[in-house]
This record gives sequence, structure tokens and C-alpha cells, in this order.
Amino acid sequence: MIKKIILSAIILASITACNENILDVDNPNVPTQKSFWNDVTDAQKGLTAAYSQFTRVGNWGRWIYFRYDLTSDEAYSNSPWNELKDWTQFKYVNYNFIQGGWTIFKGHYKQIFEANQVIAYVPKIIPKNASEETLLKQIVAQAKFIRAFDYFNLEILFENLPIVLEPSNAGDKYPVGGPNEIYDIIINDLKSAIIDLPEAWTGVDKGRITKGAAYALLGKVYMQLHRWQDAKDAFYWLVEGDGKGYYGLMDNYFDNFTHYYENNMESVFEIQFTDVNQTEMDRNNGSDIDDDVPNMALGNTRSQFFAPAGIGWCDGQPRSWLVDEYKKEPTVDNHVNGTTIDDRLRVSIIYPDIFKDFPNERLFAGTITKWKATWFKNVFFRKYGDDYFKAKTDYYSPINYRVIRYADVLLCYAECLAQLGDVAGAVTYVDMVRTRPSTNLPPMALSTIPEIAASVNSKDAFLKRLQMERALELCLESVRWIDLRRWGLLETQEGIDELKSRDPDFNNFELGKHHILPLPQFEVDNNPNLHQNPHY
Amino acid sequence: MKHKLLLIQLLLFFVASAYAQKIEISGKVTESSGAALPGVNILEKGTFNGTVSDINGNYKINVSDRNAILIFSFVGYLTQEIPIEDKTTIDVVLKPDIALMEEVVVIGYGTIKKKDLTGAVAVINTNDFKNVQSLSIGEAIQGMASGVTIRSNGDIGSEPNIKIRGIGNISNNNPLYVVDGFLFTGGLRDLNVNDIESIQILKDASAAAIYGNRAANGVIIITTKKGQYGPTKVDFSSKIGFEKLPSLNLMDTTEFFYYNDMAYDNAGKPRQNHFENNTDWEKATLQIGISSDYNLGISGGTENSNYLVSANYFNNSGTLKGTNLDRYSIRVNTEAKKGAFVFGENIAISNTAVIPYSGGNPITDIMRMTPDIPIYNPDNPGGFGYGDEARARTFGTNPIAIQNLVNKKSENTRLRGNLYTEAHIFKFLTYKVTAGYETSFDAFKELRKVGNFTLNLPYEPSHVYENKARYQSLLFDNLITFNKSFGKHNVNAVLGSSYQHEGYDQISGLNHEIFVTGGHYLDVLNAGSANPIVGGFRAEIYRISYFGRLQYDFAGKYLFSGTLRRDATSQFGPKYRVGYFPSVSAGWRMSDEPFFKVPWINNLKIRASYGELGNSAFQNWGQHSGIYDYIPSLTTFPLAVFGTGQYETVLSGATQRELVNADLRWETKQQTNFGADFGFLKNKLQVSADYYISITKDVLVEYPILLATGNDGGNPWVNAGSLKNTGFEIDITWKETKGDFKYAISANITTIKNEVLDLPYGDKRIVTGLCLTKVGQPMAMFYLIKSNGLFQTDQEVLDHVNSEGKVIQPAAKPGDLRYVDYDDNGLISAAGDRQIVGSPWPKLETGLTFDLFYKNIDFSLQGYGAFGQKVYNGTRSLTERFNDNSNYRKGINPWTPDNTNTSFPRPIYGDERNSMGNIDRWIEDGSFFKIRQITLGYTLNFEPIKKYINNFRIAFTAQNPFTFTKYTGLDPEFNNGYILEFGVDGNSYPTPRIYLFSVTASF
Repeated sequence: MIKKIILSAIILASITACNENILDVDNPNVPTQKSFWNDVTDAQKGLTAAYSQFTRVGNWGRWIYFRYDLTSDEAYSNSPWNELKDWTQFKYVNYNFIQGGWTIFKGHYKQIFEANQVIAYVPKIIPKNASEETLLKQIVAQAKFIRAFDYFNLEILFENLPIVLEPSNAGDKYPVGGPNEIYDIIINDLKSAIIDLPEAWTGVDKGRITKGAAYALLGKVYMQLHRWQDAKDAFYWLVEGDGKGYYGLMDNYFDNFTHYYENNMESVFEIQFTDVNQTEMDRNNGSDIDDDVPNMALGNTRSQFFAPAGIGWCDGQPRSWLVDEYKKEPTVDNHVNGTTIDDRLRVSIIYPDIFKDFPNERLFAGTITKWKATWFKNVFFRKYGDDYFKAKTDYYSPINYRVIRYADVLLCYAECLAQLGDVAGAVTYVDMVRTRPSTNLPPMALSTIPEIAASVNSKDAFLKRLQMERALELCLESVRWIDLRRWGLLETQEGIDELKSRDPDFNNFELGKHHILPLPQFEVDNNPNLHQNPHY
Repeated sequence: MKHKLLLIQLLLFFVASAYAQKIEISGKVTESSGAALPGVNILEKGTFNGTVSDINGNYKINVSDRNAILIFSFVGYLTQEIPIEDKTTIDVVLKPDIALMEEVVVIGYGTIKKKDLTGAVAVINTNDFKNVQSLSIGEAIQGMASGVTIRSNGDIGSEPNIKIRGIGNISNNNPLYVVDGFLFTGGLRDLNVNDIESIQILKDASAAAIYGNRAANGVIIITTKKGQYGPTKVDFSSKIGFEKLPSLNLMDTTEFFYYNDMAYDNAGKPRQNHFENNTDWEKATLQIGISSDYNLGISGGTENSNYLVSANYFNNSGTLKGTNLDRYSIRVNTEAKKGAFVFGENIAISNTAVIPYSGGNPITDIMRMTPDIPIYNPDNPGGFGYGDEARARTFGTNPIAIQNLVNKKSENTRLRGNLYTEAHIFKFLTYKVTAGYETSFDAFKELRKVGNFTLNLPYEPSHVYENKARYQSLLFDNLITFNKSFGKHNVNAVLGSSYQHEGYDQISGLNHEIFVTGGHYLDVLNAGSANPIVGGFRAEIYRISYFGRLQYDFAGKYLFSGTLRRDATSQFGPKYRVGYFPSVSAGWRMSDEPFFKVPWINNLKIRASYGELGNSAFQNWGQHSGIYDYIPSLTTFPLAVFGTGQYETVLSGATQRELVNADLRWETKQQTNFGADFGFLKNKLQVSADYYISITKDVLVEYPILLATGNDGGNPWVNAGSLKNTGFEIDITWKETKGDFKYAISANITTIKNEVLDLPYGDKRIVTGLCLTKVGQPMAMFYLIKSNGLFQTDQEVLDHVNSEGKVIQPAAKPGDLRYVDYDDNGLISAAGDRQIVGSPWPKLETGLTFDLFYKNIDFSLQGYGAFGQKVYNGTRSLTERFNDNSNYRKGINPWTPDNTNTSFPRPIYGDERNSMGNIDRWIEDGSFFKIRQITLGYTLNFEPIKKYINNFRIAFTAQNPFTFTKYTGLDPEFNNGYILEFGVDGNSYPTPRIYLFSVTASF
């Protein structure tokens, strides 16, 4: 009996003896928030993540080109994917269409979240020495530029936006701002970034955001607000001020669109792509949102979508009026390519007469030397295509995307000067672009086209001509839609009529509605502060 | 085939080993009423010599000498020992064992007599399993218990979704499984259904609370078979089933061209230059699936020990060409007694290999391929046909191509079992210690060959991807059971502790540009030569629990039970990891009271219970699994490149991408149950009725959050909101024996009403895709733009105006859908015109079973129905939309100027007017009643073979032969895993029709 009682006691003890410390288990797979944001390495990694987002499909890896390039009058879509095509023709039925506005909206806010983390947490890191202190300030400044750049694109596309300036929490319902609030945020971020950004980076840091990039973006922002003097002052640093020495035009226009001359003197802000890691399964499997995978691909998928039929998807094609415009004004002589046709045409566009106009032209690494019958009378994208070194295209184009080129800055500067009354000053900068060696056009005043020559004498005529000069220099580089909004062409019937004459998609355009996209309906449904954009 | 031979050889071996002896004894075993008792074990005492009585109760046995003693034993009857002496005929009447006659129900950590039960427990009749072809118990118990809803995913090797008493939470509804005391939530398909002795489903909180924080979705307790006292018994069964999917009913080329051209004509676009083929994609992709199930069991026992060994082979070729499932499993259950100790073990080893469909949804793929596309097209990379921009503009995936170009295989080897020791220290006190262990090795392999299966697919290099994983679970239980009566006071108490550790780790590799030799891909990682990637992760969970239960009754009339469990788990932060889960229940058997004198009521018991349960939403072992989801962490995947030329450098970054809620804790379900059990007319009619109210608080949800948060990688788990389910459950059973006729009819009816009481983050509503979930309403209501007939004339278009006279649909033409301008702004858009147009919840669910035995023939029928729910028919939304190309459903009747008497709008290619994604056009009544199973069996009673074989039975079963419904989709009983879109049938894989032949025998 005693034995049994002892046995029972042992059993009871064994039932209750267990140390609960074993329940303290941390995630062994990833760093945790509480163990991170301690030193410069962490700060650097946080910033790298924010940069990484530029290459994703919601940002400059894919879909933004459909909004900026195809929706404008420069290009259009004849995609077999009807909904994709409809979204370039002002036919927005499903406001949640993933490849329409959703992915861009989400992708940009992902990057804003990552920039917000850097901006919030890095200033709390205690630097060990003066050089670390500078480095940390530069890191925050880069993050502020990234955030400003994201809000700028979102503002252009959607206009009314949730305002997120702190690291997010899951249940947040953000306040909403229109152009006034959003542009204020952008301007503040850029002004603050300018203070700490270095004027230039070298070696392995080349390609990072510079002071000049921030000034240029600030100038562009002011231009959208028609604050011409503020804009001019911002561009001044690059064009005439302290930063002047860093910038210039490449002699050969084409060098701006290959992977051979990246981060050159004409690059003001450039998104860095590479073709390492051609592996990301998610890219191929069509997940356009969650592409957070190991060994992620860092190439641009644009060329796969825009390359000619049979080579790429041909989801976007330029409008042929661009070809006609290029051919209107002959170059000074034929020393560049053996003809007097503007060399920018063949760099930008593949069109039926390309082999006739440019007898030495070779496409797709030399595999295509004459017009294919199956291409009929089509016109195709060439700018940023990888046809100069690849026979077939893919999802891994290594070509950096020059978001702000110095040529763009010069033309913007000219626009500001002209708006402020200095047309003669403005003409000098346009002429710099026109007389680039490979472009080889005469200065405006000496143009063989009378209207061009005459335009140097009138502010209005000059500004109108400048619109075309910008198209010829910058077509298919994702600036046209921003220009159209700034020039007010999307706000008047007259403007729409002009655009219709170049792009019949504008027949579907409704004034007061289609200058911005519908917000993702999901976001409107579930954020009580956010209302769908007007008339949607 | 090899496997069949093996089994036959085994059988022959056992038959041959039955050798002859000297003295032949024969006789008949009956019960006191005189009815024959088949299946009685007859054993020569002290030997392994024995036999079993046949269908008529007759037996024959040869014994060695006159001193032998025969032991007659049968479950539910008192065992008798009879010396032979000089008899040659021994007829025996077995008396029922009153103590055992009372049905015993297995509950958590113990058993209870069914009559004393105060909680809601469903007992499944496992005898019915022999008639159905089921890979896992989920399929086997479909329709057998009220309040238990099971929907199959349909695709090969998948486990069905089981919901007990409705939607307890928003995302994870899998119940907890307890097999022979071992706890787990997945891997059920590796349990051989033939090994199951009993299944009990703990449906309410008072019954399940002893399982604490994992019990909120119900608990399914499974006990596997044990050897019986008696001579070696060999059981063999073989089943062969033929499975067929319902027809998708799609058009052939001629008909397709007619409607496709009409859609292009209506759009004013030039017709497609169609291919000239007539491909029946359904026929090309689907097949009659053949499934076979062979089972061999050997069992037996002596007074001090018993054993059971069973082996099973299950194969299913699947209803899709190129798919397959193979499972081998072996189980060994033994138990031995020595003095006050009992030692036992259960162990099962299984290996399951599945070759699944390589693409996404094969049904969608079949529908999206137009019939003019050829299966093979040498012009395309890889040689398969698919869409063409000019001729057949569809992005559909060629199902034959994807199955050929992508080969997947997943294989799983699982060992699961436990060892236990029971010590009967005092007569009233038992101590049991159990050590359970499970390990599972998972291997997945994918080979991607070069070639395309859809229009506009970028070039993909070939690749091999493999992952290997190991899962381990270790469980220690200590249990003390006290059982004693003090006069009329009966006390049963249980006290225990449990410790569990689960861990999982995985490694993976991916390699590209696979070496091809002689047209054959070397499908190993070493054969790749470009861009290799490796990966790996691990996760673990610890749990420590203490629990106790007290059951008390007075004279079997007043019943009381109370339980309490304390759980601690590593899945939540230190502040939230400990929880207490109590329950109480009480019952009163009124029919035992002296004052109760209603002669036609034999039994009346009323019950009431309350309990609390937990759910920790743990779902899987991958990323975002619910294990570390309260810990804010960073992703280390982001990369960015800097530098130019020789300086080009890829840097790795880290950032928080997935938001988390650090205060995560388990959700708590509070359930109140009122019930009554009746037995009428000598218990021929049994009725049990329950009403329950269940409130789930701190519901764990992967709830959608705003895009502007920048969150990515899935919605974070959040603990918020609450949900209420109320409902009735009624079970009615009628059993009667009349001469040779023996039959039973039972029906169950369930109603479930759910209401959202609160939502996370203080939200009042959440809109997801097609549905709205709003406080104060059932979840996942359809939230769509309402249509209102077709415009017949241009004038009708102009007459459709808002209150200010604005024409609402100026672009519409006769034959187009008219929509309701809900916000009266003169414009149809998602922003203001969606409204609630229906509920996806059945008002009533019902199950019906009927069993009949007449002499050697048995017949059974089972049905299940759900009524009153609305369904979004994804099949029709795909095959009737016309704005994008697909094949079309046969029998459509579109509007044309000459055919205006129809509700089917004008087809228009490339135009959304009649086919917006968020309109009510494809909402249908989803009510149905399904005959789940009809079986006809015959038990052979043929003298020459009776000597060796008992209970030889052949049967024919039809599974899912008929469905009565107006629903025009493939199967009204579909499964949508995303609970906030519960009623959306996204071309769910339909349940196949199965025709099954089975043979069972025991020796």
C-alpha cells in the first residue's frame, strides 16, 4: 500500500513538472524588428530594400509604362488581352484590374513603406564617427527622394491619395490629400533631401540618387504647379549653378538607351537594372504583386511587352505621327547615318521604312535585316529595346531606365525661361539638344521649317513648338503624360481635339474624369476617408 | 498488378495453413431469442485453434481430444466455456452482457456510456465505410453526422474541408484529430480508413474543452482496430471503383463558330480566321478514373494479449489524364497485460505518392481552350496547340501541354504511432503514460521542359525544382483516471498533463537549363547548368498543457460533468501564451424518475452545457504559417544593383514587408448547448435535438488591409471581431426488425445562422471581390450591381434614366443588360451601384440514411442536401461572358433581333457591357439534394467454401449518382477555401461519380 502511494506521488509530480521557458521561441529564419535598425549596415540594408522596389513590376519593372507611355498620344495598345488594352483607351470598367491601377498603386505604397522605415528608424541610430554621421544622413536623404518620387508618380496618375508618412500599422486608415497636400509633402522631402545628398557618387555607389536628381525632380514638381520661377531656380543648380560640371549631353543619342553607357553625364536620375538572376519563377508565373522571393530577378520586363509581334508581346505600339514628325525636318547634312533623317527616329521606333531610310540598319542582333511581311504597316517600340544585342527578347533587360535625362532638364529649363518671358534664353537650351552631334539639326532660328524658325520670336509659338521638340527628344520615355497634364491639354476640349488627331483613343476621353485613373475600388471600399475619383 | 498478386499469394498462404484435426465438433450459436449469431469466435482453450460461426450461426471445428474446452466469445455477449467431453454437437445460446450492451462513447482522455453523455458527440457508424471508396476519413464520413459539413476539393490526393457546426472562425476551419490519443491537424489522408474502429466527433464545447486551445473547430476522435480475443482472423477486402466527372457540356466547333462570329459581328470587329479543327478538350483531358483499394488484416488475441496487423494498397488514377495517386500503408497494433500493467502500441507507416495536375484549375483550362485549337501544333515551341492572336484569341492553357511540359510529383513517407503503459494501481485508480511520435518525410519534385502551353508565354528555360522536408512531432501524455461509486454516487475523474513539440524543416533547390539526352530530360538538380538557387527554412512549436475532468452522477439520473484545461504555447508572445478553457454540462434522465410514467417514451434525457474553446489558427509550416506571426520581422530577399561596368554590384537589403499584429492571441469560442434525447416505442424511434449558440471572440483572421499600408506577402493575422453562430440540429432514427427484415432510417436536419458581431481594426465592413462582410449580417454576402432584364428597343435605352432624367446607359443597344442605378447618379459603376443581392448560406442542411437487411441481401442509401443558398456560378461567368474568348456552354440562347424572348444578353466580343465582373448575372439558387451513396450487397452462403471463408460479401456501390438541383454549374457542392468569398464557385473541381465493386472476406 505504501509503495502504491509513493508511486502515485511520483506520478503526480511527473505530471506537473515541465519548464515553460521552452516556450520562448524566436523566428530562426529572418531578422526581427527588435534586433534590427542598430547600425550603419542595417540602415544601408533598409535603403537597399527601398531601391530594390524600383525594379518591381508595379514600379519601373513593368506596368508604369502602360500608364505613362500607352495612355498618352505617343503610343497605344493592340493587345489581345482586352482588359489590358481597354485600360490604355480610357475604358476603365473594373477599377480593381490588377494590371491597371492596382499594382502601380500597391507597388508605390510598398516602396513608400520601405522609405518610411528608413526615414523613421535611421535617425535613431547613433553614429560611431563623423563619416558614419554623413553616411546616415545621406541614407535618409535618399529615402526621402524615393518617397517624394513615389508620391509624384501617384499624384500624376491618381491625384487623390492616402497620406502615409510613418511606418505602417496593419489597421491604419489613412487621411487623404489632394494635389495641395501631396505636392507639399513632395516639396518638403526634396528640399530636405537636397541638403544631405552628395553631388556625385563614385565606383560601386554610382547610380544612387544625387543632389542633382533631387533638384531636377523638384523643378519638375514646381512645373506641374506652374511655379515657373521656383522650377527655374531648382533646375538652375544643374544647368548654370554649382552642379553644372557634372552634366552634359552624350554625343550619341543612342548611348542613353543601352547598357553600355549607364550613369553617364546625361543621366540625372536612372533606375538600375541588371540581367543577373534570370530565375525569378514568380515573374513567369504571372504573380504581379507578391514577388518577394530569394535571388530576385533585377531586369526590366518592358522590352518583352513592347517588342514587335512574334518577338515580344507587342502589347504597346507607338503612334505613326511620331515617324512623320521626325521626317519633317532634315538634318544639317548626312554625315551621321548617311541620310538627312533625324537619327533619333531609328533609335526610338521600328517602322516599315526603317530599312529603306537607314540602309545599314540591323535589328535583333543582326538577325532581322528587312521588313517582315507579318509586320504589315505596324510601328513598334525600339527605345529601351534590347534588340541591339539580343536576337530574342525576355524578361531580363539589363538596360537602366533614365527617368530624368539632362536633355529633359534642359528642355524643362527652357520651358521655365520662356514662361518667365525669356524666350531668347530658352532657345539656347533647346538648340543644345537639337545640335547634339548625333541629332545634327540646325538651331531653331536656322531651321528649314519656317514655323520652327519663326517660333523663336514668340512666347506662345515657342512654347507650342517646345511641346514637339520634347516629343522628338523624349518620346516613349514616360514623360509625355506628365507633360500633357502640365500643358493643360487634358483639361480643354481643344486640347483633347488635338490629341484625338494623333491618337483616336482620345475619342473615349471624358473631360474632368479621364485625366486621372480610378483608384483601386478595394481601397475606396475599405478606407472610409477615401472616395473614388470624380465621375468614376 | 504486382500488388494484387502479392495479396493473393498472402491469402493462399493463410488458407493453406488451416490444417485438419481429429475430432469434429459442430453446432449452432444463437441468441436468447433464437436468432442465429454469425461471427462468434470459437476457440479451443489454450491453443490457437479456432473458427467463427457463419451467417446462420453454424460452426464446425476439429479438436485434438475430448478434454478440450471450447470458448465462445462475441462482442456484447458474455463469453462461455464449454468442455467437449463426449459431445459432437454443441449448440450454444449466448447471453447479452448487460454492462457492455450500453454503448460506450470515446471522449477526450476517456470513455463514457452513451446514456450518460451530457455533451454533443456524434458517433459515426464505421461499418458503412466498407461501402465507399475513400482515401481519407473526411470523404468516408460525409453526410453521416448532423452539423458536420464536408466539402471535397476534388483534385487528386487533396484532403476535404471539414466544418463542424458552421463557420467558427474566418480562415481556418480544420478540426483537431485525435488518433489513438495522438493529436494532429493534417496528414489525414495517410490514415487507412479500413483500420478505423470508431469515430466520434466532439461537436460542442463541453465535450471538446478538454482539448483546450486547439478544439474550437471541433475534435474528431478516431480509435483504430485492435485484435479480438480468439483465433487468428484474416480479413480481406478489395474494392475497385470507376470515377467520372460530370460533363462540362461545351460546344463543338460548328456551334462555337456560330456564336463566336456573332460576338465579333456584334462588336463590329472582323471575325476570327478560325483554325479548322474540332477538338473535344474535355475528352482529351479527362478520363474514367480507376481507383482500387486492397486491404489485408490479420488479428487475434489471447487472454493477456492481442494484435492486429493490416496492410493496405490504395491507387487512384484520377479523372484527369496523367495524374495518379499511390498509397501503401501498414499498421501494427498490439497490447499485452502483465499483472496490474497494460502495455500497448499503435504504429502506422505509410507512403503516398501523388502526381497532380501541373497547371492551375483544369476545369478552367478546358473551358478556356476553344474547340478549333488543335491539341498538337508543330509550329509552336514544344509542339502543342494553344491560342493565336489572329485565329483563336485566348490565353487559355492547353491542359495536355502543361501536363506534358511540367511534371510534378509529391511523395510523403509518414510514421505515426504511440506507446503506452497503463498501471491499475488501485481498483479505482489507473495511471497511463503515452509517448506519441510522428515523423514525416516530404519530397516534391518539378521538372519544367522547354515549350509553351499558352499564347504569349515568354521563353522559359527548363528547370528542376526539388524540396525535401521533415516533420516531427513528439507527444507525452500523463493521465490519472479515478473511477469509483459510493452508493448511488458515481464519480469519474481524470487528471493529466500533455507536452508536445512539433518541428518542420525544409531545404530546396532549383537549377536551370537541364541536360537533355536522347530527348529525355535528366530530372535531377545536378543536370542543370544555370542560375541555381537554394533555399531552406525551419519552424517549431512547443505546447504544455494540464487538464482535468470530473464526472459525477447520482443513480444515473442526475448527470454532471466539468472540465478545465490550461494551455501554454510558443505560438504567441509571453503575455498571451497561457489560456484556461473551462466547461460544464449537466443532464437529467427524466425517464428514470419514478414519477415518469409515459409508456411509449422509453428514454428521455435533457441536457445543457457551456464551454470555452480556443483556436490558434496554425495552418501550415511555410512562410506566414501562424507560427511566428506575432513577431515583427524583416525580409532579407530584396536586392538592388549599383555601380557601372566593372563596379556593378548587387547589394542585399532588408526591410519589413509583412505587417504583423504583435498582440496576437488565440481566439475563444464560447458555446452554449441545450439538448434532449428521446427514445420512443421500445427505443425503436430515437430522436435527439440540440440548439446551440456559439460566439467566437478575438477571431483570428488573415484580414485584408489597405494597399496604402505597403504591406506585402499576404494579409497579417489579426485577432479581432466576433462572430455568432446559432442553429438547431435534429437527429431522428427509426430501427425495426420484422422477421427477416431489418431496417433503419435516420435523418438529420441542421440549421446554421451566422452573424458578424465585430470586425477587426474597428471596421464596420469589408469588401472583398464579389462579397461584402458587414457587422450585423452574415459573412460574405454577395455585393454586386443588379441587372434588371434586357433592353428590347432603343427607346427603352433612352427611357432608362435617373431621377434627373439622365440616360444611365447611353452606350447600350437592344439586347444589352439593363442595370439598376442604385446611387441614382446617372452612371453605372462599382463605386456606387453595388448592393447586397443574396446570401451564400444554406437555410437548411439535411442528411438522410436508409439501411435494409433481408436475409443475405443488404441495401443502403445516403443523401445530403442544402437549401436556400445563392451561388456565384464561376463556370457560367467564364463560358457566357463573350467579351473574352473561351468555349461556350451548350444550350445558351442569346438575344438577337429575331430572338428577343430570352434573358441571355447579346454576346459582344471585347466589350464589357454585358459581362462586367461585378454584376448579378451569374448568381443562382444553389439548393440541392444529392444521393451520396447507394449500395447493394450480397453475402455468400455457399457450403463448400464456408469451411474456410466466413462473411464473404460482394457489393456494388454508386457514389454521387444523382443530384437534384436547378444549379447550372458543375457541382452545387463546391469548396471555396476563402471564407470571405464563401459562395463563389470558381470552377471548383466537381465531385466525381464513382461506381464501386467490392469484395470482403474473413477467414
